Amino acid sequence: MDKIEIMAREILKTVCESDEILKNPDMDLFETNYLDSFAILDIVVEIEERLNIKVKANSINKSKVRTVNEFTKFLRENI
Amino acid sequence: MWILDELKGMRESDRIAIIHRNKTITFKELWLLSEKIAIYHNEELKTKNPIIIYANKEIEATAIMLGTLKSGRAYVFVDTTFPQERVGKIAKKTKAEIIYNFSGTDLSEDAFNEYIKIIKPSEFEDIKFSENKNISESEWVKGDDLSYILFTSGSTGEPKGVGITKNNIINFIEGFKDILEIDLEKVSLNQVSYSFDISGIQFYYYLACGETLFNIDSQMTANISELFAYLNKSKASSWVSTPSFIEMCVIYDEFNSDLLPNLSKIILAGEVLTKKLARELFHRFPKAKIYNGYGPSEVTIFTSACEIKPEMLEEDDNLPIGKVIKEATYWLEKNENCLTPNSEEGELIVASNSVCEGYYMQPELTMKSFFEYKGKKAFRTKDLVYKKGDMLYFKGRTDFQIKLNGYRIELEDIECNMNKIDIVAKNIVLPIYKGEKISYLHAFVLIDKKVKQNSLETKLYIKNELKKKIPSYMVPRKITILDKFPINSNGKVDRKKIIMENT
Repeated sequence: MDKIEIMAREILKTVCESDEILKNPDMDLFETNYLDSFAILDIVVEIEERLNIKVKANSINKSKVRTVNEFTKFLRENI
Repeated sequence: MWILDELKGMRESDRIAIIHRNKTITFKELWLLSEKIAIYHNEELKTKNPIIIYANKEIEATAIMLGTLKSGRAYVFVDTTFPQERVGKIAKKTKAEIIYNFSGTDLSEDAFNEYIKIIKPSEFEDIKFSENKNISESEWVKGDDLSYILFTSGSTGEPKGVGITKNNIINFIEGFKDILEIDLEKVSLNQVSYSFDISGIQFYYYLACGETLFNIDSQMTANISELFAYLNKSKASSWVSTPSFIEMCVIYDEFNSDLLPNLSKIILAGEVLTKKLARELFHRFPKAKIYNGYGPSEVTIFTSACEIKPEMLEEDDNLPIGKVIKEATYWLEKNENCLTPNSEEGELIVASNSVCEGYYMQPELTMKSFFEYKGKKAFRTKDLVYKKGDMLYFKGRTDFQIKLNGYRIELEDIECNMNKIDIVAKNIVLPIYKGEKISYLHAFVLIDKKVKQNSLETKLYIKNELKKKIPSYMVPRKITILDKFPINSNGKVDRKKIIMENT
């Protein structure tokens, strides 16, 4: 696992309040109520605080944070 | 001011009344369509029972609301976040003969009575293209008739209906006109769900004033860049939403007066407005005025409101919830839940023409919270509040009702429904705070010992079963499975101990 994957997992673990979500990185976090529209806010705050970057409105949406794998991909594309 | 009278005056106008995505409807078209719906109700329905609208922000939904009022009936707007089982319960309670289903998913007949008519968009087209007919004004809802019934989270696990009359609404508008007033012939952002009563500001007042409503639906909010594109397109000059919704927008730098250059009025309500958020909004929208509104749905939209002035950010207190509607009599009642012996603090009790009839078909529940006071209806808000001069400040609740992202939730509603799940023996649900706001819900569950557990599987099963009974936003994010529950000396689940041991 590289740094980005670790960071993605850390962020989602914090926001979802669960390390069990890491067991299945393709699980839909919205369907399973670990995330909702407002949680995306928390994810953005985590990214901005941990990585010291600003997240642009046109870069993030629900589908980019739907699963652990999708979110890892998103971070990779945006750092 | 009553919406039907105002819209009647605009029934020849080609001015756009509502915009939703690429669709628009003029005041003239809205009038004609609502006339047809009213006639349809009178021709097809046997009773004056409430009608149900299961939709989000479709233009048709507004026309149906108007048509319903014109046919002397109340509408029950159920947002599409409600699961079918709950919609079915509401249908049974209201004995609704008709439900307009714009949710995009078919309604399973098991949840509903056989006699209920289900109208989907395709069937609605038939009503839309029927011939023009007029309905007599004598059919319209009258002063003491219910206009809408808002079903809200009930601590018994069953949703409870708050029934609001035409007179309640007129009183609200009269009482808060100076807070609400806007420049005419502009655009107002219409994001709040019609199942949430603060949407009544747009529907009963702004639309009635001839303002154009620009609808924001829930799909737009799932994609921030799409949302922002629509916000920019709206050229809105007024905004009404929960603090949570605007906070979600504020997180991005792009949300500012460049995106919404005409925005001059921001009204926030439904949950605590923090200084942090207000400060940021002043910064992003230096030309806008910000207002904070407060009040349970039982007291028609707002009980109190005020403008938030920059000086208020410097005071020690949290932001005020404003002055109570002038026409009301109110007092603060002491009870055992008051945290300090401060004489200016207590449970807010309000007697006003904005106080509703009570809970629909629930006389026992109604008696617990409503009573008569000097010729007016009075309501026990269960909100702990304190006073400084004319201004009220919110302290907390005396019960287990919470606001999560603007949604009103009874924790016991979640607990009761979770206990109905086969593998759950006992549970409690705790709100977890991040600063002043509730960040998420944490459920502690005792599982039936006979069940074999794989932790993640069990938790997903519980969430899934729960989603069939209660709205998605009420499903706890975090679930902890316990071996046993600590019991206090009264033989009840020791909530305090669980909180202490697990946070």
